[in-house]
Amino acid sequence: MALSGSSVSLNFQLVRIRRVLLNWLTISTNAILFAAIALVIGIGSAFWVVERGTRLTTQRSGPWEMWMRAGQRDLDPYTRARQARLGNLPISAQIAATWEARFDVEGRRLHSSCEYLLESEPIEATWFSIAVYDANGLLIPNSADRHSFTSQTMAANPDGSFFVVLAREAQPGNWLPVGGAGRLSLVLTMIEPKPSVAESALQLPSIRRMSCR
Amino acid sequence: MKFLLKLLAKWPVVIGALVAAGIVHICTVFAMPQIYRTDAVSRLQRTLPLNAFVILPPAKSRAQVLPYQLPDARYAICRFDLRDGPLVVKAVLAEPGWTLSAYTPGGESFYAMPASESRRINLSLLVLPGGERFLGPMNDARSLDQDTSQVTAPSRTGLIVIQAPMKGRTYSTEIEQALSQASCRKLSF
Repeated sequence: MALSGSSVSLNFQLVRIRRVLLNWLTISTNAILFAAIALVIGIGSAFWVVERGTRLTTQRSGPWEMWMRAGQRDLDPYTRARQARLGNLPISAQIAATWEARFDVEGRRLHSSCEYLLESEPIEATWFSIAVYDANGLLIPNSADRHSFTSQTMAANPDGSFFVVLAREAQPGNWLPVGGAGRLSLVLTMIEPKPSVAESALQLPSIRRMSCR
Repeated sequence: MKFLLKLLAKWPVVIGALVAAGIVHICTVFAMPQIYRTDAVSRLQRTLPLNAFVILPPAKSRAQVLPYQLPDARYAICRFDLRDGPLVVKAVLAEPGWTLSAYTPGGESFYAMPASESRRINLSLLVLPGGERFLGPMNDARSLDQDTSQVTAPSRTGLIVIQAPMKGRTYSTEIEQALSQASCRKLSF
């Protein structure tokens, strides 16, 4: 049966519309894919690097990390972004080592529902402090109003070694209360560590999880 | 697997997007200091007087001026502006652990001095504006100590911070008295 002229023209129009729609769909899919990859990877990696650091910006030793150019002159863009995000004023890494730990030795996130034991050999520095904060760098409310120990307030052994317990309930010795804080951040500040700031990594305490609720 | 194969078929788009991701990454990192207007210097600049030390209250939970503020330390902070000339900072770094740092609005420390382990340091520091902004002699220059250190600030404004660790809470008043001796004043031409 022969097709009429109007029927052929209609089919031709339908094919053209279908082709235009397919082209439009392909372009849209590619554009969405392009934007998704660019934005998710671009923004995500920026926040990830500013949060965790890289070998170029941070020195790591076990669970501890130090931003090597924190507070110094001519900050790199990542350290500058991190300082802006945290909103703190770090002492220059030329005179102080500021180490932060958010994980225990087995890589588990420090959390207030667990108890932790920090054990340290004597720390050689003009002055040092171990302080515990919540994940935002805020002090944790507690009835003892205790948030840190320093080289002057720490109860140390005769050889200078010491231990600190992070726990909800009171513990004998150097106890830092952490109840109700959620994720924890532990900061060890050493002013003029010996022999140098870079080698202060050799003096860092171990962080062991004792128990969890 | 099917998704990966489909993605591979679009490799020109993926490679282009990865290049764009790198550009977005760099732009995001550079934009962060502008996005986070909560940085320490911005917040303190809104509340502190100009060219005078202010001793911050002891850090307590729910009453912290700065995140990650050392709880066993007292802070004295001077917000400076070098528009009208240099600044003279005088401070005593009384004991080991005391530090004096100078920061730009971007949080860069352009000067940092720790206390000596063996003796107290009577610090006298002349903070000069950078570039060509300061050229002339100063009337007050004769009043400066001979051992005054000089530092050129990379920015017109910023903060001078003295951090004084406490041996215990009973020492808080003693430290406050030592910090109150610190001065931060504009040098007249």
